[in-house]
Amino acid sequence: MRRHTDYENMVAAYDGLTPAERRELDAHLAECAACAADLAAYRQMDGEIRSARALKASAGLRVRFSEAISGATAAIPAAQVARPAIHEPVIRKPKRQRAPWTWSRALVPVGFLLLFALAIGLSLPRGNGGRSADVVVRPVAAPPNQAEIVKLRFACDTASAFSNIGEWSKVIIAFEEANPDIDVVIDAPLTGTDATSYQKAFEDMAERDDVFCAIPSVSDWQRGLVANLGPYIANDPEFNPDDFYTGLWRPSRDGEVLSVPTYFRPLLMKYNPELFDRAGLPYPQPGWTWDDFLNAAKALTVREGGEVTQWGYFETTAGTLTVRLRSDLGAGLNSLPDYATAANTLRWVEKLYVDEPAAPAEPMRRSLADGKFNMQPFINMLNDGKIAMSNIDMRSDREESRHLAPYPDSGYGILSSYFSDLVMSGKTAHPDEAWRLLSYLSRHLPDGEVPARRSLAEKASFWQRLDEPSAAAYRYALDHLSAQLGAPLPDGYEHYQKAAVAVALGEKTVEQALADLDAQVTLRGGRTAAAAGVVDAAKSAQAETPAPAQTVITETATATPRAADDVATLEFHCESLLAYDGLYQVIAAFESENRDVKIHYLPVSVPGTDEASYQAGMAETAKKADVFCAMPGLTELQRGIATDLAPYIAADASFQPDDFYPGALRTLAENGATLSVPTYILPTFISYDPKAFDAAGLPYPEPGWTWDDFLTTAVKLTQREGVNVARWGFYEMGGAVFTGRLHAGWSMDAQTPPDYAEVERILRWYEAMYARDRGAAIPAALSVASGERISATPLERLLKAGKAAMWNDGGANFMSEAGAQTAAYPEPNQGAFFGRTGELVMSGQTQHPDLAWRWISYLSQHLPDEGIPARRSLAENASFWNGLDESSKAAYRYTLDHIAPVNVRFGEEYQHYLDAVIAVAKGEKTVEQALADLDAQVKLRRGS
Amino acid sequence: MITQALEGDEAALLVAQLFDHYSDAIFAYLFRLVGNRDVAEELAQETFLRAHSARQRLSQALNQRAWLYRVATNAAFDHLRRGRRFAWLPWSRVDELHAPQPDVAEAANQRDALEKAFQALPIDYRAPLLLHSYDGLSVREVADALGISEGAVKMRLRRAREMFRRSYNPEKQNGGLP
Repeated sequence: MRRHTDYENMVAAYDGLTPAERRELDAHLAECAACAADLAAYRQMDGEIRSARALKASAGLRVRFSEAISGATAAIPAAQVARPAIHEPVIRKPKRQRAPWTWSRALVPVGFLLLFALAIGLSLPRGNGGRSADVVVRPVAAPPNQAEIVKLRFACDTASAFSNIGEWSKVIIAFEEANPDIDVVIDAPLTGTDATSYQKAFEDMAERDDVFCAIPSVSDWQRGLVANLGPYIANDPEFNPDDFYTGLWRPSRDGEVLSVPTYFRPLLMKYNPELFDRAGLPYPQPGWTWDDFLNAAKALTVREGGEVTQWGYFETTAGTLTVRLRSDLGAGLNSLPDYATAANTLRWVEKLYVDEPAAPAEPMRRSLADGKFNMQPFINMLNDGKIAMSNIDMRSDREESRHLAPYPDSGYGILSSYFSDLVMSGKTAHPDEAWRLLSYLSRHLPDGEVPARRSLAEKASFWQRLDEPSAAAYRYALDHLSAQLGAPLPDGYEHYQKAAVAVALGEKTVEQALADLDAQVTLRGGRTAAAAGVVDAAKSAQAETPAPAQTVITETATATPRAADDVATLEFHCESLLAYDGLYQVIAAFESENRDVKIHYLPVSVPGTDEASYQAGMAETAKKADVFCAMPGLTELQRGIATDLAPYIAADASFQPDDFYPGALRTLAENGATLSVPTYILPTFISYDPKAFDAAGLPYPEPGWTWDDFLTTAVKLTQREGVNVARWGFYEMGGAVFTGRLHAGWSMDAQTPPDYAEVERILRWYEAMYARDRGAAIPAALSVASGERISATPLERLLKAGKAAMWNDGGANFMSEAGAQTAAYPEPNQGAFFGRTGELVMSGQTQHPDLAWRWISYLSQHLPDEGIPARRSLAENASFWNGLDESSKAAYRYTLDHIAPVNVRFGEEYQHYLDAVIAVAKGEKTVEQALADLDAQVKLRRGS
Repeated sequence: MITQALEGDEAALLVAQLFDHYSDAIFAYLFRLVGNRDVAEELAQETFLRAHSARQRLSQALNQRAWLYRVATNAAFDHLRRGRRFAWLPWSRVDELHAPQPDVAEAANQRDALEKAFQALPIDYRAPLLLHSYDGLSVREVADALGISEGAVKMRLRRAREMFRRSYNPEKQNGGLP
């Protein structure tokens, strides 16, 4: 027999049900209008969901994947850049097919081959797929002269970053047709996410590829990783370096040309003209000043009750700050500002980010710390038109509500971000051919981004995507690009930058930052010049550790580095903690404090639906996971599935087992073993509607009230209309409270059952509550369990209709908005029968028991602030208290202080007691009959 | 070299076929889970690389699609646990201005209400809804993909739908019962 909730769940999954389930649900739908309406709504929802954008992976995915498998090193993720430098060729463009290779192309001829084989009545031998694919890729005719063909390798992250690797393939095919003596192999580009991995990727590509995309430095040239292109350019009449936009052509100070630009993006900001109109402000104009910017940002920031509801400026990185600081360096970008200028700029920073901020500093903090930042509120504000200026795209329902504008005049022109340049490896064996490829690519870049060459940009399609104000901003930018892009910044600039960041983040006052800066570097026309030795020391220290302003980075960077093989990975399987968003931060914090451990978290539960399958599931999980969430028993300890944690607890001074609420730390009485460590607890409460109590003139339930108080109150609160019940004194769907009275007769360790007299009292209570005076309805769960057909009205629906004065909704807070309050369980009790979530178990088979314990101990002490932690120290400061009224707080406090040992195992005879009270509650047996039967079954203990 | 990868290796051919059939779908699913194109591509690649390395077992799997989605889901959760929904730029060796814009620009571009509604769902509700309603997986397949019970799938779908209904069409939210 299904509960109605089951049908509701099935409706939500209608199209995914088995035919048998669907037939059953169809029968229910014929009788249940609410479910039928839900199904109709869900159908419509699915139609809308299926209309979502069809997203396509870039061709680069195909390239990288094929590269990886053809390297016969199957499971190498792309993110792992530290792969062997030499790879087998990946893609031979099918010259005679004139199109980029795809899996589909490879497989179509396989299909033809199969059809052909069928047509001629042959059966294709097994394993022939490879040979058939061979036919595709191998040139149909032999190359003219293998000895004359030079093979070049090319890799470019710019090419793969914009989903246009296919277009690049076309360019390369065209190049090969124009240069029949050269065969180009496209490699997957290697990339890095930080300076170290980037450098490694760079070096690997220099070894592997003849031409690749990167941003080289002079030292890369000095180390022979890249070639100086100057001599080739001088001898190539087609190349024309004057064609590049000002500033994008960046020879080194000594004139070497180490790279050739591909695309770029002028640095423009976006603004919402509607907000400017509303505030009566002029739009940002070319030539506006940084003070104009600050004033506009201030005027456009709106606060309501101390909370910012509209930001004047928002950006995701410290980009604006960078532009602002550069403007102090002069047109040559070659010297630091003077003291007064620096002071002025730092004050500007303070006004923008700190003093009644007009821009939030938090994204900058996160970008510097590589941390997690909840962007969603800002995304929502962008979409809702609540951000006036930004460095990221503003999208709202109205496309015209976003325009582009240049940043305030920086004195040196518009800065630009640019993509990886084309470079030639300093190690290529075929420099002339490599130059021909590089030159050709530079002049035939696929259309897409903004090309660095004027001749290409003028006919590029990106203009068509711009509205008129944005196109005007672009034109201005292209005509005013800084001539100093990529120029080396003056010595000490990083200190200036960090001083500004420290001010922006509120970590230093302007005066502190200036004083520190003045001690670190020599400001132009300097007020005081630091001794050269001090500056040098500061510089070398800078190379090792970030500035103090970047607190988070400092902690990370100064932790003891360890060799990779010193790092152990712990498998942590726990589904129940997945819902706790803060878990990821806890893992990250643990890993940063414990550099020798990585946590590999899988949100999976121990499989199993009954005791036997659950035990089997735990055994399986223990083989894979070092730590997992489960409810093991002594059996699991004896079978080596779980580890006794008692010795670890005893040896861990930080753990403090007394910190747990009584009974929350699950202890087996038999041998003192501790099989698991709790994280959160779910105490059970009774909820009540104070209005019903007021109307009946009854006092609210007080902590410490008794089961008899509960009975009397429930009976008084029950309202009848004839034979029907208009309102139940107490109602629950499950059976926690129902069984609570029975459990209250046991000893607190659940080991000693009630004696004869107590059993009789218990049975009479059930008789009065459920069968005779009927203060409470038989829990639906018990009816369902006994196979009865019941009217399984969902509890929340019943509560909305005002049909219960007290209830137990298992903590769902169905009536939280209706002023429902929380009461503790009646006394005596077996504690509140709380559930637990995320009970941490150490596998008996872990290879890293000490590390596994370290993680268990840490997690139990650093739980995300959600729910009710099992530790008193965490619970006392937890936010769950915030939503509670005073009486509910009292109920919580009482309950948490009165939790009995959790390991409530009533023994094998328990079921007979439960059967007896159910029979009495349902009126199937008198108290006397039930007593006699029970006595015959379990031989009741005769008390005094 | 693809010929080498496939030669005499029917299982590798199967992976190639799976790639052709499902790479876009897996990528789209991952993109909606992690909200970042580059990361989604990395995870999609990882998914198919795992498929390739396990191709002999995969070829015997009854439901290869569910298998792929499970691997993809695990890869995504594994990524998300690191808390790097946005790949913030380090202050790079060259200059932060020279690096591409952060991914958040892409997130901001997800302007249409559907995508926003997806993103508003907690990940453990978003995943089953995407698999069931967008990718058309059965309850059994979703259960396999997510490593949870069929009952949990149905329950999560119902809750996901309730949340989706609220976030996708706020004016229809009545706060009442279904």
